[in-house]
Amino acid sequence: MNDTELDELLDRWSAPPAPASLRASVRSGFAAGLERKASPSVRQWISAFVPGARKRLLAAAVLGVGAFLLIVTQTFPQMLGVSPAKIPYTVDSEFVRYGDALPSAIPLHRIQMYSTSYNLNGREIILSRSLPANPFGTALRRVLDPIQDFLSQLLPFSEQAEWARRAPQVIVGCDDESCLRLTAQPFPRPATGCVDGPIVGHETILNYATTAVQLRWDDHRRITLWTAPDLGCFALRITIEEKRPDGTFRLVSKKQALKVTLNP
Amino acid sequence: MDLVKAAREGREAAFLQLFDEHHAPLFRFAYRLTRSVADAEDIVQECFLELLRPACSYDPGRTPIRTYLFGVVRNQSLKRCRKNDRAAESDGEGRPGAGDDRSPESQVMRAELEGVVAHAVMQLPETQRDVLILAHYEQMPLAEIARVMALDVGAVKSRLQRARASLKETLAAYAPGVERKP
Repeated sequence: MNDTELDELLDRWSAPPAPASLRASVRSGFAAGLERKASPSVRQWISAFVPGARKRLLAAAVLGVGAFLLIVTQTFPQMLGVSPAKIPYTVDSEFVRYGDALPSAIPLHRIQMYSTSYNLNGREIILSRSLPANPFGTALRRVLDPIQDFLSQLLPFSEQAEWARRAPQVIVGCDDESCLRLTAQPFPRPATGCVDGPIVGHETILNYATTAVQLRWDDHRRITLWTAPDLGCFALRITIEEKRPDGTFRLVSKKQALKVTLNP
Repeated sequence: MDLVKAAREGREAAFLQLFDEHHAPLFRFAYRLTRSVADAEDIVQECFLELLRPACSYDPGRTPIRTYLFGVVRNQSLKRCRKNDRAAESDGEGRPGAGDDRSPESQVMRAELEGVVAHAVMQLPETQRDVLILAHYEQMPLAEIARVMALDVGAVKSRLQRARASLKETLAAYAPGVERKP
């Protein structure tokens, strides 16, 4: 076989063209990268402010305190005011974020967070949460969430009452890519029902009747909440959709209840 | 303005221009190394996003962007192939076609010529295979291949010659003038 014949044979092996979805995936990755840059991680923050020689010492101290608090909060939850007897039910939910590479019907998605929460006077209280892609964040939140809950109970009674009177509020998703901060959305307390707004449907989720209400979230997004009156108006599903240039909507994020536990 | 610098500063147009200029050959290269569209897609995506990371080692003063990107795709593909190979071994499976002792005649009955050629190329030693793919399919100059693969030009040249000699032997039965049984 000569060189030309070999070249001819080699040319028989063709490669397919790059899929059209590749550009969209790379583009959404670029946007996600910018978001991460805009919200520096804890590690970057430490790097910026702490001299290199002290980093290990600081890390050891943080880990030590964290481990201590973790043990205390997991072993003696009542010490931090988390009293399971006061909680009538808990809901386990997953928070899913959808990419824009594909139609929402065939989602390029990832689970950002699992949470266990309940409603207190219309306000959603997170009892625990885990971030599948961020074990450090999970450990951090396991320590900080009970402490936040504990501190809120130290408020003087009048402030607690004021806090309880405030508008109902649900956790709709993560505030950033790391999911360490959450987006909580207040809603006007309606005269009847759970959320004021146009009803777009009724559905039974996990054996609880829900009413779906759709509201404008901002100029280009809308939010739909499936609230269950029997669970203190807990939203068993929340979706946020973004308007495309052609006027249709694509799913951006979804919070979905996975399990309801009564009298936990 | 340098497109990479502009992309790192958050200019999407610059990033997409870089992508549009380079993604097609990178995808072909990744596909030929992995023989999987899904893997190639992942690798090319990761390769472009790597450019934006603060820890990215790309230095425009030292390496042309095309050379750097091909290097990243090659490394990612090799990692993925080794991982897949380990997974296949632990599952008790070999690489597709590995250890296949069927005659060329029976193979051609089972597979298209394209598959035979691809299989022959994939059976080459790793560096010979990569040199051949870059030289033949991407028409990359030897000096650039040497930079992508961190070899000297002489080594690239000798590997290319060995790869071609080996393929001539392996594919002798499929040479255009050779008659084959149906």
